[in-house]
Amino acid sequence: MQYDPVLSVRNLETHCFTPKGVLKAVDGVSFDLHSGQSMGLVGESGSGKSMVCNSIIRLLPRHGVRTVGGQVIFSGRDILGISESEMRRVRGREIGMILQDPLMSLNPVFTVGNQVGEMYRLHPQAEDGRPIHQRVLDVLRKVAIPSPEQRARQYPFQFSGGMRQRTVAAIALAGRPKVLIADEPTTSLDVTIQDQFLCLLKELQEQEGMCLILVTHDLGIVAETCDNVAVMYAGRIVEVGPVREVLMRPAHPYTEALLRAIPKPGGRGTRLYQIDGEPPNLLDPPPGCPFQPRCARAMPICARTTPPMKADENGRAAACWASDIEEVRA
Amino acid sequence: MLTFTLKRLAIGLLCLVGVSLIIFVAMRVSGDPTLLLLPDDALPEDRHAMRVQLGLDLPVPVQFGVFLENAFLGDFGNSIRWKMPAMSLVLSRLPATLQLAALAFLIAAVFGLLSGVAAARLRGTVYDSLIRFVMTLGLALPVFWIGLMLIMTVSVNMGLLPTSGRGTFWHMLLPAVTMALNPAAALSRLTRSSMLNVLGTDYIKLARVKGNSDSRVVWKHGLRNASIPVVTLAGIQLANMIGNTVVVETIFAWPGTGKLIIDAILARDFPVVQAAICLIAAIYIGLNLLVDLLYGVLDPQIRY
Repeated sequence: MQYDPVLSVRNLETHCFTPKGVLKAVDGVSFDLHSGQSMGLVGESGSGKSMVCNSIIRLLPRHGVRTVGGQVIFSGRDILGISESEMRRVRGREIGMILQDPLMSLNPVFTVGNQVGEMYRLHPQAEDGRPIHQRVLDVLRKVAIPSPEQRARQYPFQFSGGMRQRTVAAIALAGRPKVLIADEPTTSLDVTIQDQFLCLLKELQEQEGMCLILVTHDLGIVAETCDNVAVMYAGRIVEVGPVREVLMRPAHPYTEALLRAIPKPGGRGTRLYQIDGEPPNLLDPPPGCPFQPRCARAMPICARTTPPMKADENGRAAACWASDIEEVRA
Repeated sequence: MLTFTLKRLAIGLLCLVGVSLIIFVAMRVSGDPTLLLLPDDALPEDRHAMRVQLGLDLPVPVQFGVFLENAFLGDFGNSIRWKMPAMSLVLSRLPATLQLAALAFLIAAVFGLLSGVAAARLRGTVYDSLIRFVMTLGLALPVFWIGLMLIMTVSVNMGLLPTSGRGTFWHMLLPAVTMALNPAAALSRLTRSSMLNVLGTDYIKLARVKGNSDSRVVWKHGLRNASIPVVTLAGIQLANMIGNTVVVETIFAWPGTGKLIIDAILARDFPVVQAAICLIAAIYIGLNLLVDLLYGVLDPQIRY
């Protein structure tokens, strides 16, 4: 990790301005993504996962939501500060994104070939002199769409859900991005197709040497697909680290609780584990650690002071007073 | 698509028969044309002779049968007042009406679409509220009042445009604007809401993720999807315009079919009214068919 990260998010803060007050949807999120790395971003609904992604690519709702602080360093510059037209060249070409719902992500009135080809028209790649049509067929082949010549002429409604998702992946790949953000890419697919798609995604990531941010609430998917994992709670990252370590030996009580909530085979008849309480109201967050009201290991200090991120030398970090992570800060 | 078109044409023909039946009966209920054609002191025998000559002495169902038979052969009878074939009379006035309706539709479509898209893009701003306010006004104000106000302000007070009649392009402008205001408002509101729906979809977000500019997102990815309901309304509006000319042509003394229909109704000139209404109904049916066929072009999921 001595070389610079491809993408470095520093203290990102994105707030929603609602009539009831300011909601800190992303509250000081930081992480690094090194070349070829994949990171899972997990957390409950509303923990701010998608908001982090949308802030990075600068596609937040036009009204009431704004990134108010932090930096997103990409290729040596803070892309939060560049102009909108410069940002358009980053979107798609440098940072690609796969949206949640494959059934809705393709425009119903244009052919699939047209929609994939648009990437080449928007981001001309001088080094590749072949006609756009050829390149479209190539990238469709890469995502394993059968008989691409014929399929390219069809419309999205003639595609199955899995094929549409692969088309969306093809669109992302066509820009040859350095970072690919996949925001819950498989939630609306059935399980077998989910698996297929994740395998494909991982394969493509390794082939192209892209970084991958995979947003999900499924720890199983993270375990299979990612190198690192960041766990989000109430707009903050509460724990990061290599997937195996975090899942085997969670340092934050919230991660621990998430892991316990996974149904186990053979557990028939036993009640599924459930984290007590509710996620905090972000308009009026509890004092100190946001997880403290639901935490089994809460101590008096937890309700007073927000725990800082403690990191060890292996890239593990957690924001918890009770964690046994040995801080190595120089 | 051919079977669909043929089927729709057959239904349209049935529709025309229905329309002509209604107008046929309505006209005969409205009164006896000989009361207007002959002087007050005409003898009853003369009146009867006139009725026989016009074929009005036969029972109404028989009259209708005769009318239908002739109409299928293209003969709508002779005008009682102008003594010439009714359909040729109507057709001679049609270009003026079509010209007016076409310009009005063009104005309505361009303004409706542009202001609707603009309002959608500026949602929540003062401009959005302003556009919506003006458009609500456009919907609420009656056509005849708008026409009279325009004549009074633009023509009479400012002296910018002619008050009435047909001649230059400038003669067309006021009646066309009068006719356009209402449909423009309706189109604008529908375009706005339809565009807002579309702009909220994931495929629009993906278009942005791909690196499209704002205007390309709206005009390329948004408009074609948003236009599907708008096209329906536009088709209805265009067809309505041909009928609406009755009011506007009367206000502006525009020599089109609308004015002709009013004159013919007042003169109880049955054949002319029948011919004109049948023609307008046929245009209406034709436009509706055209709109349905246009869906297939706009939305690849629709195939006939």
